[in-house]
Amino acid sequence: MHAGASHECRVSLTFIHSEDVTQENVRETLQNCSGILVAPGFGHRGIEGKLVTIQYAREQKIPFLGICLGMQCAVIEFAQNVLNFQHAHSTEMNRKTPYPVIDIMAEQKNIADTGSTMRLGGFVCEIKKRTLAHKIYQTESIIERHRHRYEFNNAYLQNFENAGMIASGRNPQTNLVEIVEIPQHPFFIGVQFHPEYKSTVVKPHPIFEAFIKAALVHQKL
Amino acid sequence: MSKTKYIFVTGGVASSLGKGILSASLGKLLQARGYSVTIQKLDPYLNVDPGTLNPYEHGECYVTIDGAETDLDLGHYERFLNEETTQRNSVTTGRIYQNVIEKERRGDFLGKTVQIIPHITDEIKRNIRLLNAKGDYDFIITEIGGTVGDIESLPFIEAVRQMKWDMAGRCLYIHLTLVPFLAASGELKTKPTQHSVKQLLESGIQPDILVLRTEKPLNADIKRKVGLFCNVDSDSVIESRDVSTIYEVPIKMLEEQLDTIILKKFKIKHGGEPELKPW
Repeated sequence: MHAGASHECRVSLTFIHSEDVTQENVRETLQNCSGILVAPGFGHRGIEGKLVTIQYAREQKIPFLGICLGMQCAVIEFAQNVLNFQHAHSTEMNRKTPYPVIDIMAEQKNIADTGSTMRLGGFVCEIKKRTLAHKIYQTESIIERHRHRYEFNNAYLQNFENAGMIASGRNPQTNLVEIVEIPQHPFFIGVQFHPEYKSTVVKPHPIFEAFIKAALVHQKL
Repeated sequence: MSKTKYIFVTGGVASSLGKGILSASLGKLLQARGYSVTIQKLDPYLNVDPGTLNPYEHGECYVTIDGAETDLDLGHYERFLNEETTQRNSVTTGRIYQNVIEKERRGDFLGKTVQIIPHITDEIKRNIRLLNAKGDYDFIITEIGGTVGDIESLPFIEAVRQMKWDMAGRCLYIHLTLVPFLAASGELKTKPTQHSVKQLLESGIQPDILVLRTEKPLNADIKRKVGLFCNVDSDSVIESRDVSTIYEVPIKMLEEQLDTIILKKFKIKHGGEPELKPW
C-alpha cells in the first residue's frame, strides 16, 4: 500500500487463502494477479496451497515475493520440483523428511517455552553484489527485523546455487541465509526477515516498491 | 518546549474503535508541527507480551528493532510517525505484575503488603515515565487498551488519574467513544457516550476532549448535547467519521482541529499549519 502510492498507482489486493489453492484450480485462481506475495505464518496449515502457488509464480514468471514462511516455502518448492528432492520439507512440518532444507536453528533446539524465545529484532544482513537484492537496496549491508525459529539449511546451499536459486543475503556472523532469489526469473525473491515492519507511509520499504514496479511491468506484458 | 506533556487516550462503549489510529494520527499532526512525539501502548491483558497471542484474534504481532514482540498498534505508530519504537513503548498488565512480583521476591518492598495501589499503580507510572528517561520528547501520547469499565484496565486508569496530580498542568485526557446510528428510527444516539464518560468520571478522570466515532455527520446540536452531559465544552467534542482507509484519519483530525485544541489546552502558542505535504 505504502509502495503503491510512491508509484502513483492503486494496488488492488486479493487475499487468497492458501488452504483453498490446489493443483487443479491454481491457474484459474491466480491468472489475474500481476504479482504474488506469500505471507508469513507458522505450522503446516495451508502449506500445500503455498507450494502450488509458488510453483505457478516460478514457472509462469510472475513477480514473486515470499516473506518468512513464504521464503521457506519457496525453498521447499524449489527442492521438491527443481532439485527433485523427494519429500523435501521443513522439519517444522515434517520431522522425518529425508531432505530437511529448512531446519530449526541450533540455538532453538533446547527451548521449551514459546513466549519471547524466537530469533527477534534487528540483525545485520550482508548483500551480494550483482543480485536483485543489491539492485533493490543499493547497498551491501542492511538491518532488518526478524521473528522466526527455523532457517535455511546451509548443508544444501550448493545444490540450490548450482540449480539456479542463490542466497543473495546472509547474516555475517552466523551465515544464516536471509535472502534467496532466482536470477533466471524476472522477479523472484524470498526474505527470511519481515520488511513490513520497516515500511512507513512516507518511507515505503524498497522491497515492496520493487515488487510493485515488477508487477506493473508484468501487467503490461 | 519546556517540559514534556502527557496525553492519555482512553476508549469507551466498544473496543476496536481505533484508539491506536487516533493516537498515531494525533502524533502525526503534532510531529508535523515540529514537536518531538512518541506513543506508548498500555495493554490490560495478562500476557507478558503479545508474542503468544493468536493473530486472527488480535492482529499482527509487531516486532521492534530491539526484538520486542509488541501489539499491532506499535506498527501504526511507527508507520505513521516514521520513527522507531522499542520495548518501552509497549507495556502489558502481565509485564507490570511480573516486575512487581519479581521485586517482591527480591525483598524490595521490605516486608510491606504488596497491593494494587500503590505498588501496581506505581510500577505503571514508572513505566510511563521511563519512556522519557532522557527527557527529549515534547509530547508523550499514552494509549490505554481495552474499554473503560473493564476490570483489567482499572489499575491503568487509576495510575493515569494520579499522573495529573504528580504533574499538574502537563496531562490531558482524550476519550474515544461511539455514537451509533439506529437505522430503524434514523437517529444518532449519544446515550452510550454519556454512560461511558460517567464511568470514567467514577474513576476520577474528567476527559478534556471527546472524540466520537460515527457513520453519519454530527450536527452542532449533538456536539452541544454531548458536551453538556459530559462536562466538556462543545468545541472539544470532535467528530471522527468512518473513512475508507486509516491513512485519511490524520487529515480528518486536522480538519476537526484536534491539534490546535490540544495546544490551546496546554496554553502553547500555535502559529501556522502543520507540514503534511508528503502525506
